[in-house]
Order: sequence, then structure tokens, then C-alpha cells
Amino acid sequence: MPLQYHDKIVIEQLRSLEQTHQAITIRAQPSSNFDDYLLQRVEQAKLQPSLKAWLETPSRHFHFALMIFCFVAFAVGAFAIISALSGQATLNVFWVLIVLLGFHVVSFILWLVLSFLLRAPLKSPIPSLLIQSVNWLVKKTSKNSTSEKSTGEQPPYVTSAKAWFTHHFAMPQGRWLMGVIVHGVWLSYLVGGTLALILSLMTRQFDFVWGSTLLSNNAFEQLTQVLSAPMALVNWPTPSLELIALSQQGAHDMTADTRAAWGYFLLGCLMFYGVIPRLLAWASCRLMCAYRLRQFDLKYSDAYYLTLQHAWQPSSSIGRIVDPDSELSKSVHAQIAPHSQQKLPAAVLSSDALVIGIELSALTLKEAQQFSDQYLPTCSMNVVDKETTLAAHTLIEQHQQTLVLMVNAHKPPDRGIRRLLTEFIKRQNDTWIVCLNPYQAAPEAFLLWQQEALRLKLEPKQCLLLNSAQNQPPPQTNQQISDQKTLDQQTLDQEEQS
Amino acid sequence: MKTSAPDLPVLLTIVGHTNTGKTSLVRTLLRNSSFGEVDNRAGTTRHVEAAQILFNGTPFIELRDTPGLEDSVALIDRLNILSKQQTTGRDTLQAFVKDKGNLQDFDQETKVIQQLLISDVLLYVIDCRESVLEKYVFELQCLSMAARPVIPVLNFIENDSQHKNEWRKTLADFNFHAIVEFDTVAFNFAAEKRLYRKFQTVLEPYYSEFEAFIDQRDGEWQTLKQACIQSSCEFLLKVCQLQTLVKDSSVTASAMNDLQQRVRNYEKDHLQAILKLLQFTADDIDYVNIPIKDGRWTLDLFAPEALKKFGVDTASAAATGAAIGAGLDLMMAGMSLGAATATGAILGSSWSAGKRFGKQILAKYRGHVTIGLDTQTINLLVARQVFLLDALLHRGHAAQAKLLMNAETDKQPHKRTDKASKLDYTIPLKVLKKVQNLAIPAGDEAFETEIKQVLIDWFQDTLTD
Repeated sequence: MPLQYHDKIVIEQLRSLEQTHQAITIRAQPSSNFDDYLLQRVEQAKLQPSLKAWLETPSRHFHFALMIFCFVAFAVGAFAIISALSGQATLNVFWVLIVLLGFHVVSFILWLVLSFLLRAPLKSPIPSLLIQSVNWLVKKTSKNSTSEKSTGEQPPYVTSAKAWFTHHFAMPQGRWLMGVIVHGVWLSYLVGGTLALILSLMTRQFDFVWGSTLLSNNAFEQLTQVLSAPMALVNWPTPSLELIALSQQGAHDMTADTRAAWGYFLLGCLMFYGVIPRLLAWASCRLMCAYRLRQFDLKYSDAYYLTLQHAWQPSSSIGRIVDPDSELSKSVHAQIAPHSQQKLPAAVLSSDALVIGIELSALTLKEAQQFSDQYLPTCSMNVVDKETTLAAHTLIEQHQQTLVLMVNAHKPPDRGIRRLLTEFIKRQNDTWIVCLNPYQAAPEAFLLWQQEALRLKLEPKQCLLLNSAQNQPPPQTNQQISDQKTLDQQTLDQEEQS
Repeated sequence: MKTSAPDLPVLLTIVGHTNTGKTSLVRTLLRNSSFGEVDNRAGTTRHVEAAQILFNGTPFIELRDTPGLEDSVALIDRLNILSKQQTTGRDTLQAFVKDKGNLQDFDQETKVIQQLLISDVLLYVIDCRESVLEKYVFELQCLSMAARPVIPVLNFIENDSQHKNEWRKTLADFNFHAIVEFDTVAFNFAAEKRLYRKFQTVLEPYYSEFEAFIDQRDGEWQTLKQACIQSSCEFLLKVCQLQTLVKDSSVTASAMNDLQQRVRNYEKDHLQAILKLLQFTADDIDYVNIPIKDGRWTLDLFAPEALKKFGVDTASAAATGAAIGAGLDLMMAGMSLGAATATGAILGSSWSAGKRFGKQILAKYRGHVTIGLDTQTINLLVARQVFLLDALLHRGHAAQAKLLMNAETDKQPHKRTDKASKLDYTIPLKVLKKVQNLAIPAGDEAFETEIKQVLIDWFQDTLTD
């Protein structure tokens, strides 16, 4: 079922509340379409008493205020007629008509001009005035007004009311809704006036006259005829030319028929030029407003609705395991504590060591070359396929010295590499794993190689990380260390002597 | 393999060597950073995990993430032995799966091969940072035995593409021509679309379904992007409308602190909304508070924009007042000599001016100061929004590194931030300063819409790929 306009407004109110007050959380059950989902959220929200009040009160307050306005207008209309007629036994017909219908006619003409001649939508100050008034009133009456002032946040009720007023008045329908309000109030005024007039005419006797200093008698007669024309169409009693002439100021006493004719004429004028046009205008505004309201759509492309759409209908399902881990080789991931053995012991890596690269990338090979230029033995070969694997086996068998296996620090060992390492180490006991790190891999990558060394039953010190050759100080040989010690001792001796 | 009536969901198996980004690819396609486990360790995924991409709420593609092929050298040796007794590659693979003796050595490979045999399409993920080693060639041989369409996905192409051509050549040797470049970390929607187009090509019976699916996915992406931009523009408008009246110079500092805190809170809220919208989490970003240096802005009542807008508004309000007054004059048959018209016009213009500038004029009279954000801060906020949107719209759900959003966002040595720092911020600054100078209260819908559109247009131009 498509969303009704009032549903959309409540959804928009809820949106304003959720966007400005993070504490509000609403959960909804899955539903077949998004509109239903939104409605469900509203229903869920209304289960919370405070939220229900915030969502429903603006509409209730508005209708209550409108009712008060209409009632006041009704009373003012009745009072205006009673005051206009009080204390007078003889009434000037046209003066009474101006009093009864003057303001109404002017405002009606203005509304017609603004509504139909000026097609561009007019920005009414009334919605913003209403919003500001509501904001001000709530702030003044709110117990937490001080804290709200300091945070600059609006109270939830104001947020909700603002959304309600904005969506009713600030869009194309606002123009027609204003028409409904204005015509409704005027209608109340005129109905009040009409009823008061009927009561007055029923309970008191008035003489009706007309007269003018400047205008001719003919003009008044014609004016009365013109005003009576619509009434005559529905057989409404109107004064005849003879009666009009008889009622001129200064003429002889009136008969009951003359009084009744003028009374009906007055009532007719109120109905035909006051109540009926207002009623028609009110009805047309209401129809136009309903039409415009039906055209109002929620903007589902906004961030708020897109997020809700994700929640309502995710674009993907949650992952499920279709073939679980059979745990046949989980021991591979035995955890070890990281250690900081990253120094290169020169005594171990002598120039006699056999250095073999394992799937070294071009950059890592270049790095290995830089190290070998400085102090490491040259990398004899790089194992990349079956052929080089066989060659490496042969080389290791022939070479009985220390074996240094160079690997990429950034690439964790896969099972193929682990198999290769196991085969190589089987043939040579004194094996070292040197991780070259030209890609500046994170320390965790090195940890994986340390785990591998542990699996191969190597000492922690036998797995080393060498960072960039430019940054790594060359390791000192035993001779260099002893030379340095001698030098240091000589310096100390000199200092002591001085 | 489905060849006649479409039977949904389409089964896609993601295979590849260990640590090439298979799980990352699934995460990015699902827009779900919680799928599976991503780690630098080899063999992180040791099971077969499935998830579905939904189309109008129903499963359309089922993605199956498999363990990595870790020892293809030993695997191909075993397959070569088995192939001697079989006629086709598929028969060999089936024989391999049935052979329980393989379980100890080839536990993971058995899982992968089982999936190869039942899938509609295979996605072979390649780490382009690696050169083509023999073990990878063996993996390709193994895949070709499955007799299923294979789409090689070149991953990690963002920074290092030195081996891309080498890989393309090798793949061509295996007749794998439907290659896609798709970086799972540096996301690009156009690349994702190309990937789906490849599916469409190799899965002919599903052609129309894929066409509708791609269209919907494209529409969703564009809407999402637009919503993000709109959200950023709304945030910028909101913070530029923030003003605080300071009655006493001694409390200026505390008022400034309050203002700054509100700006930071708004930015954090906005950030949360964007992350939620793009289905990221707070873990994806490292947020550092924006430092508002001397974030003081004194309202200039006589700024040209203010005067211009003031003139326009006053004129229209005066006209409304005058019209009402004219009605009264008319009602009094001209006896008021037009006094009501004049009075209406004066009241109308006074009301309009008072509404917009009343507070400021009163504050000026009382010696109070209105403070807001300075140009530098607005510039920084705009730059941070450009950086945020650009980075998040190009972030794969597999990305592990946190996005750093700090004070120097516009100066970070990063591709995205380089872009942000080289931008010309004249247009957004101009319109946002206009918002400030006019002291437009929140809720002036017509004006906000006009300003927002200018900002949206600028962001769209800026964020074009």
C-alpha cells in the first residue's frame, strides 16, 4: 500500500529527530517493501512514549490552534454585526454592507490576485514565524533550556515541529494550505456574522434607508439591482425598484414588507458575496492542497534513506562456511613470541658460506647484490622453478659449509617454500635464514619467517632480518672488533694520562 | 555448467596463490569488511566461505572464497600422475578429489579443486607485484583442467605494475583473455563494472540478467556518490551558519571553544553518517580533531553580499506591506490618502531587515560581537571533505590501512591529498562566506538550495575520476 501523506510527514519528522539526536534508536522487523519498512519504524518509534509525543504533538497543536483561531473569528464576526446594529433602529443598507463585507472583499481580491495573477510561488513569512515561535516557546518553557542553549541543539519537540511545519508550508502545498487557513478563518467570521444578523433581524425591528450627497438615486437603484442579480437566480427575495425608491432617506415610514425585503437582501449579500465565495475558495484550496500533498514524495536518494535501505535490504548476504577447515595442518601457525634478534653476526656469516636465494624478486636480488658488495658472500643462485631447485640440491650437497637461505621478508612462506626449506635444511645442519626487506615490510612479516625457523628447529638467532643495505651498518669481523677495542683502550689511556 | 535456462545464483569461485587478495576481492565486491579473515600470513583462509550478492533482495551471485594454492609444484606432479589414467582434465581433477590419500598433503588444494568442478566461473586473482614464477604457471595449468571460464583478476596494480605485461603474456598463452585489472584496496567502480561485464560475456545465458544487475549497481553507486556529496555540502552549510554572540570580551575564549567543539561534533557526526552510508566502520578511519586556529570571524554587516541580499529582501517585503496597505486605502475609498500604503511598505521592509539583521544590529548597539569560522578554517573543512569523499569513494572494503584524517589532511603526501591540496577552493569559499555574511538562519530553504547546488556542482566536478 502506498504511503499516505501524513505517513510521509511523520517519517520526515522521525528523520529530523534521528539526524539531530543520536540517542534515538529504532529497530524494525524485516518487511517486503521499503515503504512498509519505513511505516514499521514509525510504529516502533511510537511505542516509545516520548517519541510518540514528539511525533504527534505538532499536528495536534496546529489543529488546536486553528480551531481556536476559527472560534475567535466566529465570535469576532458575530460581535462585529451586533456592534454595528446596536442602538440603531434605522440602518443605512450600504454602510452596513461595507462594515460586514469590506475587509473580506479586499482580502479576497488580494488572495485572488496573488494566487492566480502572480503565478510564481510566494514565500510566506508565516511558516518561519510559526517555527520561530514554537522554538522560542519551547525553549522558554523547557526545563533544560540552559544546557540546550549552551550546546546549540534544538529540543526534540522543536526539531519535530520544525519538520512538520516545513513540510506543510515550505513546499508547493504551503500556498494552498495557507489558503485553507485564511479562508477557514474568514468563513468562521462570516458565518458568525450571518448567524448574528439572522438573530438580530429575528428579534429586533430595523428600518432600512439609503442616501447619497454626491451619487444619483439611479446609481443606487442600479447597484441594488446588480447585487440582487445572483440572488434572483435562486429566487431569493430581493427589493423591487419600487421598494428601493420607497427606502430612500427621508421617505415616509416603512412597511413590514419593505423591511423584510431589505433584511433578506442583507442576508443574501452576506451569503452570496461572503459565505459562498469563501466556502468555494476554501474547498478549492483544500482540493489543491490535497492534490499537492499527494504529489509529495520522500527523497529516497538522500543519505538517510540510503542508509535505511542498506538496513532493510542489504546488497549482500553474510558469509557462511561451506567447506570447513579440516585442521590437518593447523600446527603451522603455532605462535611464538617475537624476539629482537636482527643483528648480523659476522663471525657466522663468513665468506665461505653458501648463499641461495628462494624466489627472490628483482628488487630483492638487487638488494642481495648490494649486501654482497659490502660484506656478504655472493648469492650463488635464485631458486625459482624445478630446474633451479635441482641445481640448488646439487650445490648444497657439494658445499659442506654454512648455508644461508635468502628470502623475501615481505612474502610469507607458503607451503611450497616450506617444503623446499625442509628439503634444503635436511642436507645441511648449519643453516641460516636471512630475510631481505627492500619493500620495507611490516615487522609482522618477519615474525612469520621466525615462526618458520622455529618449525624448522632453527635457533632464533638463525633467522635474521636485513633492512635496506644503505641503512644497515656493515657487521664487524672479529679482527675489526679487536682493533676497535685496542683503539678504545688507547684513547682511554691517553685521557687518563692527560 | 549452466547453459540453458538461467539458474540463480551464479556460482563464482575465487582462486589463486596464497596472499594474492582473494578474500579482499570478495570483501570489496560485497562491500563488507567483515567477511573472512585478511592477514599477511600465508594460508589465512583455510576453509571455503560463501557469500551472496543480492539483486532486488534475491541471491544473484554466490562468491566462494577458497584457500590459496600453496604448493602447486607438488600438486601438478600428482595431477600429472593421475592424468595418465584419465581422458580429460576434469576427470583428472575428479580423480584427485576422490583420492583420499591426498588429504594429508593437499588438504587445501582438494577443497579448491572441489569448488573448481562445481563453479560457473573461476576468478583467478593475481598479485601483480610478483613476477610469473613456475609455480603460478602450474596453477594456471590446474585451472585450465577444470574446463570452466576463467577470468584472471590483476590485483595490486595501483603502485607497482612492472609485471602486468609479463602476466598478460602468460595468461594469453593459456587462452585466458578475459583479463580484468581490479585493485581490491584502491577501489574503482569502473573496474568493478568491467568485471561484471566479463561475467556477462562468459555467461551468455545470463546476459539480460547481468545487464539489469549492472544497471542497478551503477545506479546505486551514482546515487550513493551523490548522497555523499550532498551530505558533505549540508555539513559545510551547517557549520558556516554557526554563529555565537559574545557579550563580553572576557568570555570570547570560552565562546570560541564552544563553537569549535560544535564544529568538531558536527564533523564527527557527518563522518559517521558517511562511513555508515558507504558501509565502512569507524575502524576504517583515524580521525584527528580539526584545529581551528584563531577560528574567529566577525560578522560584517556591510559585506557586499549582505547588502545585495538585504536590498532584494527588503524590496520584496516592502512590496508585500505596500500591497496590504493599498487594500486598506482602497477600503477607505482613498480617504487615507495612501497613508496605509506607505505605512505598509515601511513596516514590511522593517520586518524583513529586523528578521535578518535585527540581532546583529542590536548586538552592535550593545557592543557585542558575533563570531563564526574564519576563511582558513572553512578552507580546511572543505579540503577535508574533498579528501574524505575522494578517499572513501576509492577505498576497497579490503583495505587494512586506516585512512588518516588529521589536521594536515590537505598537505599529506598522498595521491588523494595531493589532489585536495592542488584544488582551487574559490567557488566553495565564495558561497560559504556568502552564507556567513548574510547570516542566513538555518531553514531558509530557497537560499540553502541555491547555495547547496553550487557546492554540489563543484564537488561533482572535483571528484570526477
